[in-house]
Amino acid sequence: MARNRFTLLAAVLGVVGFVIWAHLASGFPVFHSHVAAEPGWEQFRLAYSVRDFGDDGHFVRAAQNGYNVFYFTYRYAWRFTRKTALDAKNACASCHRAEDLAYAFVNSDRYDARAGKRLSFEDQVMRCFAEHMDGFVPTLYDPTVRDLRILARAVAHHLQLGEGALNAAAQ
Amino acid sequence: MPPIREAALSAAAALPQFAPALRANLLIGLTLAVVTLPQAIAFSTTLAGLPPHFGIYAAIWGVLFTALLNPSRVFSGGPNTTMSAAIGMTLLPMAPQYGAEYIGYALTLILLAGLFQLLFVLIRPLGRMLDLVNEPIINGMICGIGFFLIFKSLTSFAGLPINTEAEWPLWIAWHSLRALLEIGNLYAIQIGLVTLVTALVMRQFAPLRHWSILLGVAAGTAYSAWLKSRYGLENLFIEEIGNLSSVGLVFPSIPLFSQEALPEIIAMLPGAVTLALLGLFQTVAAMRRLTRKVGGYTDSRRGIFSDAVSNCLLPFLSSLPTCASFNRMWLVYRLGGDSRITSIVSAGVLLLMVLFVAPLIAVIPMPAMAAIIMLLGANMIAWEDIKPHLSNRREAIIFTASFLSVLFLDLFGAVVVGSVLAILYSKWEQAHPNISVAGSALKIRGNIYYGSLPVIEKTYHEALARNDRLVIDFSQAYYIDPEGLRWLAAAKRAGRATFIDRRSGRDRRAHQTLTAAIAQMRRAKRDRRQKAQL
Amino acid sequence: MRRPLLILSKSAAIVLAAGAVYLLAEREHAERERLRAAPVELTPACKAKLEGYALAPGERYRSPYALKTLGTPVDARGYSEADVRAIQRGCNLIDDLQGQLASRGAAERWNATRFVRGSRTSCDHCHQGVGDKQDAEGHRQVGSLGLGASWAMADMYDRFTGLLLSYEMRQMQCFINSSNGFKPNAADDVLRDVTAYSRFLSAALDLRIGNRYPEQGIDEIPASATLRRGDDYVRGAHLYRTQCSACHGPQGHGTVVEGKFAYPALAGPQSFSSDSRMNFAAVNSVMPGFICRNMPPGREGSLSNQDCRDIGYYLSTLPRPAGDKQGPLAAAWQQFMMTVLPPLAAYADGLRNRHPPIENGDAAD
Repeated sequence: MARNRFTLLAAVLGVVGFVIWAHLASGFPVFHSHVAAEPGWEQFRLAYSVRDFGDDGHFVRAAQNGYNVFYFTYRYAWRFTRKTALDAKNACASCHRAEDLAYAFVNSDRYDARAGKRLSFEDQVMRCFAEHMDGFVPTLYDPTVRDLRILARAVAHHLQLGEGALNAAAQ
Repeated sequence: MPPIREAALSAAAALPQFAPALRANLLIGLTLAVVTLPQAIAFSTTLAGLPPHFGIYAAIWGVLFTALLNPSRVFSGGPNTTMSAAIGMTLLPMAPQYGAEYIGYALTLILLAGLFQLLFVLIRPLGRMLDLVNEPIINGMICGIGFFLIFKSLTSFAGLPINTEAEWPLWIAWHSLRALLEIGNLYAIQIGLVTLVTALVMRQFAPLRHWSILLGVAAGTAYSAWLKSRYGLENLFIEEIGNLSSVGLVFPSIPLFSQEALPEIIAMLPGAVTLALLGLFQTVAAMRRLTRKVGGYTDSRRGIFSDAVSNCLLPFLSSLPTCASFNRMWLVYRLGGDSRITSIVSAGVLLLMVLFVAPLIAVIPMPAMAAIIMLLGANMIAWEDIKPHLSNRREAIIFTASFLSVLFLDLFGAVVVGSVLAILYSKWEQAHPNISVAGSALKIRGNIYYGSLPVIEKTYHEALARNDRLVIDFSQAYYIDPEGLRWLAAAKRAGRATFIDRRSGRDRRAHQTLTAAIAQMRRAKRDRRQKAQL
Repeated sequence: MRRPLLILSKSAAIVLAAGAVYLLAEREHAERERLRAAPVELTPACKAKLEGYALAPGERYRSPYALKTLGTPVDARGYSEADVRAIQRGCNLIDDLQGQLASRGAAERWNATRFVRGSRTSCDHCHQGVGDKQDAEGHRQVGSLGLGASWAMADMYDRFTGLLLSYEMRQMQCFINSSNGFKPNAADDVLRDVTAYSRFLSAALDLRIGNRYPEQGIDEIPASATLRRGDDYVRGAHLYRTQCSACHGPQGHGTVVEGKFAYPALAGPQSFSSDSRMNFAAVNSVMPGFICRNMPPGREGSLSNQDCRDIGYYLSTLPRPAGDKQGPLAAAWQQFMMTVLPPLAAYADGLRNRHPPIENGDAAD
């Protein structure tokens, strides 16, 4: 009986020790739910006056997450793309600017001849991941897609875009 | 230290004896691994709304921890459908699924559930109360949850987004079915049907039974790959497991505890209690069922202990919570394995799979996962588990109440109803002793206590009305509480009742033989005296 | 020998069942596709509105409203045929959610009836003017639940659910709360068409993303906007009887003309649930805000803030269906009250009419 108790205690200590090792000494990155601060966010925020929209913390935080996804896609949307830090075009920002995102947002929900149906902004983001990011299709309500849309809204607000706004190239 | 040396020496001595059994256990562990992997991923993506690595880590570290912490040879834990569904239902209104915030809430939920389960370990009477949850209740809940799983996976099956607030399950079923038929992604439905059909057909063949789910998933993945080569993923819009290359040996994680999140965490507490109780109910029921089938005895406290400690630690390793799985335990037992070794082997095999076969797992389509959940849900509705309960009226009522509560209330309500039913049922049983009146004899078999006295007294007074003298036989009453004693005293004082001797029949006969023998001896003595006098 | 036959027949049955389900799904999909491609029959209000905003397929869209208000033309991206149809369907949905004005009934409205509990409720009961309420000079009414402005300001944090609500989710919330119904899937055509219409409205009215326009939502009236003397049931009942009951009925059950609600129900089985934000008992600033800005039609602004709060309070005492989150007991109780109270109240009213109030002073109820 005492030996059983002893082995049980040893097992508990071993398991707890493993968890502690995993967190402190293993070198693997630890997951936190808070939105991480990436370089360039503060400048982006000031440049696009993100604070003014709705002026609420939830929205700004989602916009910050959208910024992370847009500029560091290979790290923040790693589930949906096979590209890594070593690849050439490994983020949305490799091909698009933030303004492009905003114009795409206000021009979305239109008929797309290639797809043969009306595509929403989320549909377009999902297609881009699948087609150009060597990746997978995110779920419609995945926060990755939502936060990209919120980033688009924030930039569109700064640029005071209306529905169907055309950028200089299209006009 | 002597105990360590002793343990090491005995292990070393036992090793050669292990070798042939070790090979068999390796094979069984491999089978367990391939059976568990698709299920674990399906649980985390379709039911819990967590990224797939949560299921994978539950199948690796969860299984390993429960194997190490439970010394029994038959216990085997792992990720569980009901607990994953409970996580999904609790957190659905709180944050969008798969996101960082949702994951944080889920980790906190699992940790709270683990701490609650720890209470059941530390406070022994609580653990005993789990034994009151009897089979009709558990089987009713499992049956209801089987239906619920089928309904919930309908939208994933069709590649549609789920509804974002928990709703009445039966309504989900009807409108999800209509949404599937009217606006579902046809390609997703094709893949899901291919998976379902393959798995169901393979199940017909006895040697392939264990592999049917894996074969179904493989068929679905192959079909999806063919569709992708033909139409391109950007036109199909099929969701897949996703990139797993960032998933390494471990993925340490910190649950979410911040002041801002506190209202949500407090709102989560009923969900944490539900999660904890569902795990404990299932563990206790599975162990009880297995020991009955296998013979031999295993203390369910060990199962509760391993569950509680694992569920307190697994949130720090990005994993779903675990509990005992009767199917896995039965599989291992039938194949003749030692559950600890097979669990460790299966965890190791899965770890290797994840490290080396990740690109293959990444392209498994989500509709195939939804089809797996449907199959598992259908498996939970087993007629041979339901039939025994329908023959006894009381068990049938309890079973039906438990079953309907899952379909009409949410899981928390179902757990509450189940617990209340358990207590009521046990009290009802006790409160209705077997009382029979034969002529002027009132025989009580059962408990005489405050709960049963109303019934006993009613029969007593009815019998008194018919006879002026009554014999109360409580020789087979095995428990009389103080209130029962007071009633008996009052009956005695009333003067119309006599009590039968509290000796068993055999004692009475022995006593009669003894008195007869004593009488005979006295007679013989008297005769000898009379003879001597003559 | 029989076993292979059994396996074969079971497998065949499984394959046939799967095939049947798939064929059924394909048929329903084809039906939907056909409806999407079919020309849209507009309701009279929608016809007038969309013609007023010059909705037509083309390369560019130029809004007459923007031209009139700004003086300079604003060119936006044009709409294709499919987009125009979606916008038209969306307008129809707002105006006539349950298809009472449609020639083929609810099927033309994507069977939205199944998502709504009341049989005659429609979105424009609250989102008046088909989501775009303007006065005679073309000024947009403040606090009129404008849909275009709602689109511009979507993805806001919602204090009731604690989430950032996308536009689709806001519509789903609406189905649960205000229309007193269940909700469609996020990918359903009902939501997509209403979104298309809202986006068109924001293009037509030249609204910019993220700006907060006065017609968005409801101009809420909390207690701090009054003298804080308290909300009075007696005053509220009197105001309701004199100002509102002519259209909304003495029990708040609305007025039905030709099978459609001319004036919607404010209580009873056809009205919003008790979980809804329109219920004063749930959120006490929304209903008074709505009343003061939008009611009575044609005489907006004639009621004071306290009057509106009193009416809102009175309305919250009338029985209505229980919300989804309140559980089966509350639902049963509300059903009971909705069945029992109206005849009782009608009887009480009849008594009062037979014995009219005393001459001096107002009657106490």
